Amino acid sequence: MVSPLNLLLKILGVDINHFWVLLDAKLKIDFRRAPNSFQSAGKKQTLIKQLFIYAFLGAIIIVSLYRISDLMLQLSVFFAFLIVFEGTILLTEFTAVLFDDNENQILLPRPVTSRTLLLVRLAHITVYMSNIALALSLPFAIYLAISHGLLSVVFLVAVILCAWFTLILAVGFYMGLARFISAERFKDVLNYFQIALAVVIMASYQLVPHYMENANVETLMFKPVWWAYLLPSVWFAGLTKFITGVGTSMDVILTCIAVGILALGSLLLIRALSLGFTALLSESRTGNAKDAKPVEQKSVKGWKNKLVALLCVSEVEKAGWQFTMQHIKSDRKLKQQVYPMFAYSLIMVIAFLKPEINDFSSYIAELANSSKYLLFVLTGFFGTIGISVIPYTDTPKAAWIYDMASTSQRYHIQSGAIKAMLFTFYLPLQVLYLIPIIWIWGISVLPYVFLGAGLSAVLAILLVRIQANPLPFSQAREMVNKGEQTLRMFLGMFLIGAIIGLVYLVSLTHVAIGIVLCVLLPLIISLSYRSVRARSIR
Amino acid sequence: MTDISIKISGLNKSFGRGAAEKHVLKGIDLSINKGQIIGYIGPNGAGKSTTVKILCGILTSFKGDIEVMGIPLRGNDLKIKKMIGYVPENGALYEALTPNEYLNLVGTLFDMSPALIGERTKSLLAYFEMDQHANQRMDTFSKGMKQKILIIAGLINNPDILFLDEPLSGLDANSVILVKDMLTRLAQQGKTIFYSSHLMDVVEKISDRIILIDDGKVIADGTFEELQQDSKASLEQLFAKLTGGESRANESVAFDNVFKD
Repeated sequence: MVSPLNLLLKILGVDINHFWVLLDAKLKIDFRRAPNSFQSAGKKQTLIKQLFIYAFLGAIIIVSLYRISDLMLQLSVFFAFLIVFEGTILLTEFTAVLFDDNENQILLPRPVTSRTLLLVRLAHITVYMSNIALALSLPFAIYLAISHGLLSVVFLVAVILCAWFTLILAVGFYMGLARFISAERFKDVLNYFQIALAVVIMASYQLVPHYMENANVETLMFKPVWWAYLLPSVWFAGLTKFITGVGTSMDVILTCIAVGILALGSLLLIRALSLGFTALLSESRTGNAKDAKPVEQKSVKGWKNKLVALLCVSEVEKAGWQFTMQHIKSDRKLKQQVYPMFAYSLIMVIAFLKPEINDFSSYIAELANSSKYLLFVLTGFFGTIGISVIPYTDTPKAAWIYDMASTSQRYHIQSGAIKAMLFTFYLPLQVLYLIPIIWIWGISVLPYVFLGAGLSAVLAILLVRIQANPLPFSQAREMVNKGEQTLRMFLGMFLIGAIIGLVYLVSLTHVAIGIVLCVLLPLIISLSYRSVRARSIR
Repeated sequence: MTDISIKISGLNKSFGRGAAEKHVLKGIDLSINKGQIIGYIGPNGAGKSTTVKILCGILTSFKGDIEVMGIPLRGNDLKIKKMIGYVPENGALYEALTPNEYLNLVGTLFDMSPALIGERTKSLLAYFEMDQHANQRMDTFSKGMKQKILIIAGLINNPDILFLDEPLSGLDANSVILVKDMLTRLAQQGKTIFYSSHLMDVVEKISDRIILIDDGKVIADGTFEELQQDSKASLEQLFAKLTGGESRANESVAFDNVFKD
């Protein structure tokens, strides 16, 4: 007897044997710990830890959802959150799995259909996305079990369907995009799209709740307006209610839309859009038109080179600077990790300051009497986060050069890389922030702004030393330990909070103290760089 | 029934667009008979690997016509992939798997029965003296051991045509002898071997026919003796002469000056 899943695969035009053998191999590989891994735990344990964190996040969400009394609204808000969250994870973590270059080399010479290859990759991603979605939804499911009984089981099924919907929506978009641009340009366009979307999602996360804050959610009821039928989160809310038997006539329509869109979307993606998938994979990995062009060699006498000479203390440090600058320009994944940070900082400032558009002049006047300029210093710290990704690359084997280089100044490369990162991402952000700071608070607060910004840079530099970060571009990206990275981020945020507190205390004293400390800043920064350079070579 | 296994007419391939367009293959015309061992040679960037990838159905966009075993490649790439084997240079493997697991996966993708996969895996691993490593994970293997697995994966479906792109990369001398012997035996069984390499001595010894490409065009095609034209030159010397390497060799004086500081 053909199982329902195999029947579905057959309808979708997938080779069942190929599908299962490939999925089995992929999962087997995922759960085998790499013998040379720097991580102490295998992927399975890492995944379990991550699922706990997601469940914790889900518990936090309940606090907001608990305030909403209307079930339909509660479910709609949750599914909206789920779609956005899963979409973000898909873009940042799983796009590489979908277009896995390494695996393309293995599978493209074999007789595997485009459909099978695409569906195997979708299924592989779905395994993880469903786990994440279920972990996130578990606390809310428990809440629903207590308040609505059986509905919670249907809710969990809807959560998996919602994860699948997010996946086909994103992949359908990718495949649609591939029809309009050349395969060679695809990865570049995708990269910029990912950066832009990450920023938009972050902005909506931070800003939308603020503008909804004043709404009286306790008494807010779901209204069956026409545009509600266009919202995917509402479809899944309606589906949950309808299957449980507590639905209205509107929920019947919403369920039909959800099921119809899922079925049609899957069919369209797997049967029609998938046809160009292998062509896209093969052509996009064979080189880029841009890569074929010789790299323009700029004049060595440019102002930037003079600046590098001024800022770097040795030739090795200069090399570290230039090496990092070249990576920033050409490494897509580095751009994807670092560029959004710049935007996040801007978004966080807006989220913290909560500008009142309706009464802007009195809002600004009120702001000028506060010490909220320190919030710019606080969020400016995001500009330093790029430093934490410097050690990672897709080509860690190239780092053999560090072992072979006959220099005792190996860590000058690291200090040069930090300087390049701060110059490219941190300094422009701080300069940009000077405009609103001077406009709102005037120049009298500048000593404290400089002090805060300078000490933030010192903190970023010292964190590299304290955490004994590896040399630039010497570690495989998959070696990034997400748990450890989160802990480091928390440590950084705790310390930056302490710095802001310190600067605030200085601002309460005589301005001369602030100025004296500012004068001492170059020395403190210089000493912190020296500590990075002085690291012993093991 | 035709004796031609590969027929290429007016093959052109470009990467990029506009000013950045790189024309890699510029009108290749070839006809290759069954049972021939073709040595496909050329300088770096001449278009060897691109030709092989197109013939194996990995690169799907190209201009021109290609027939493999009498079947047009365009639109039939899956059918053709079932009839061929491909051994890439330093190709990727699922390294967390064991050879047995990996070869089982590859065999299944060729729709082979589990029994046949098991039988072939066992024989081929034994031939390449890898049987004792059959259940070890491949991420612990040396480069040469991984290359052997790539060769076995290229052979597991008993292909009519075997494409090899620098297959001897990382292999020790004994393994090179094994591969050379294997290629000769496969050709005797009527299989076509398309061997792309930089190793002139191996190409010279095993090839029935040598095709030399440079800058995306075929600049020489024939048996080793035909290419020699009574000159007694080695293939390496012929290669240098035909691709301009001879004149570059005369620039050794310029190289000597590099370290005169």
